[in-house]
Amino acid sequence: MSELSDQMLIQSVVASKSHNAFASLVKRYQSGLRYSLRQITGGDEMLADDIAQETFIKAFKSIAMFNGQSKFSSWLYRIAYNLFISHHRVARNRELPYGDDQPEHRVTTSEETDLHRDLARAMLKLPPQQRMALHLHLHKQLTHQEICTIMELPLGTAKTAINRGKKLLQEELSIWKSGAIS
Amino acid sequence: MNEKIDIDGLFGQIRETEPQLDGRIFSQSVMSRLPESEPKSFFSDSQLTVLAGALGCGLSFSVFPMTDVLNMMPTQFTLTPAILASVLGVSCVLAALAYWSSETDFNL
Repeated sequence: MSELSDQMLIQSVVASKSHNAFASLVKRYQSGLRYSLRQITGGDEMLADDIAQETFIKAFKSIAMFNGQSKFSSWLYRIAYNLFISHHRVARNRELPYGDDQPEHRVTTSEETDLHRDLARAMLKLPPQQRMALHLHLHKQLTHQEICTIMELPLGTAKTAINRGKKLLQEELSIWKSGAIS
Repeated sequence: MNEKIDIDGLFGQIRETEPQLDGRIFSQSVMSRLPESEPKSFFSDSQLTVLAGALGCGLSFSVFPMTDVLNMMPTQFTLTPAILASVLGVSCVLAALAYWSSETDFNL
């Protein structure tokens, strides 16, 4: 049986708040979104899943506002990014051990050679905006224009964030490569 | 001198090994937290029904051969048990259909 398109499922959710149709959308996008959030939260699975849950719930509540001009996935990432930024601000204000405040607590010496953890640790040292822009560009392979739409940034700012982030990441990983990681 | 890492290549490697996360528990958790669908507004439902009814009546009246029907009307009725049973039977079927359509969820 062929799968219903995003547009048909969205129309069904908008028209009748159909939980079944929305469950299909969750099933379709949960893995990519959760994995992306894990990447930008430095591998914090619980935090990433919490933000992903909030993203889907917010999407359900405001799905009537989705105008179809961008991809549904881009719209989801936009919600997720805003929630991630809000969480980051709250965590910083409360001085919670989150993000670039205390990145070391997540990394164990026995796993330092793990590629994902190396990148996660380096990513945590970047500002959230650069982290997200880099992830969307290099991992999700989105265009600059799509990144601008998701992050609500001017094109120049998005490009600068990507270039600076890339440079900082390169420096961080180069030091680790010649030092801690052998 | 530090050896520089190919960041694009590194992300490419990680992208290729991206796992497909099992979403059963996650999806259940999301679905359990969704708000229930709002009950339909009785007022707007009634408005629509009355409007559609009035429109239907207006259309029917404009094309309905009222005088012909009035001329065809018998002046005397004979109510036999067979006619009564037929009328009751048709009424029951119509009532059952109306009940079934109101109780059935036609959503996805």
